[in-house]
Amino acid sequence: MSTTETLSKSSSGRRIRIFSQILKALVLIYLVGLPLVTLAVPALVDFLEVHFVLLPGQTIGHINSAASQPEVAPSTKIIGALATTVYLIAAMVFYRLLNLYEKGAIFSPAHVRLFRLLGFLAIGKGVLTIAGTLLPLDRYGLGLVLFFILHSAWMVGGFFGIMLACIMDEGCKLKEEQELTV
Amino acid sequence: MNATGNTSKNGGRRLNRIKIFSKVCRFLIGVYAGLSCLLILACWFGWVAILPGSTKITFSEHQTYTAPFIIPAPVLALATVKYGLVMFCALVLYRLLGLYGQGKYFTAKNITYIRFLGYYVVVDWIVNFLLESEAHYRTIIFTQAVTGLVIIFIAWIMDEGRKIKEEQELTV
Repeated sequence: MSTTETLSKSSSGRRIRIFSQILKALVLIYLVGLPLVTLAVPALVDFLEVHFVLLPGQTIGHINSAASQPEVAPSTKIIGALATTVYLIAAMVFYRLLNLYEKGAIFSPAHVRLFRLLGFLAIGKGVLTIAGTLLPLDRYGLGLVLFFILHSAWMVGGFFGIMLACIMDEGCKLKEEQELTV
Repeated sequence: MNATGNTSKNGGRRLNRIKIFSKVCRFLIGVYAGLSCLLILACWFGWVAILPGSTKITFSEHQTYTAPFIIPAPVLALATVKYGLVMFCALVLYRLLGLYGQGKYFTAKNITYIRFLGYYVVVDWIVNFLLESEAHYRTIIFTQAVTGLVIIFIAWIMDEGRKIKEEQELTV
């Protein structure tokens, strides 16, 4: 029997599989559906006032509107583009992780690898977001830098993702031991 | 034999890393809780004067104030709920990390704590939406709500791990 043991056929196993399918659909809607709707139905986008948020507090006006865009510093644009790239890679990694859960695997080295990667990507996104937000220092003042770092959900989530990967690794070992038990 | 030794050494190092990480996180949670308390007191009693001159009180993206007395009552109420939840969540996280520090990874308590954190993220998303509505910005960003659901999903996965652990403990 492989280490990628299937989920138990209990209700909780079924629940995990169904939920991973739902999350996969949400990721697909977010990554493919929304950009397509944005391109295909400009009227709907204008009606809903869809904005592209480069970084917190750095909103670039209506996506389809021809109205003049607010000035965004080049450095902020670069950081924003990098942060968006990291975000999209993280979404793809998350999709792969959900694929594994949908197939019924629960504790495997592949899960651990993907969880760890997600953690590092989240920390990267957090660092870029903080850098982009704190770049115009006059907006917040240095006194709250520590508060900002601690308040960054991406940073906290990233560190927890790495810790979860370590715990998942323990789960893998438990699973292997269980398989070896006659 | 050598490979087994290496594996156990790696495992020990990993567990040690988790312990150190939980200790550091618990310290940071303490600092964060202290700063949050300061913010709450600054809002309620006007202690904002002790903070640096450029400090602004920010509850959400469009809810920023320079003085505590100009904060409208509904915003103050929502902010109190938000930071009250933050404090409670910090306590839950502190206890969860305490369990991880003790080497307890797959217990019923852990799963309850993780599930609670998921619910907190979803509730915080709702409170943020209400705060933004108060500022006449009805922005709906689903990232936080989905994150909350993912945390609940992780709790279910950990529950599977707990079942394996229990089965292993029952095996003679």
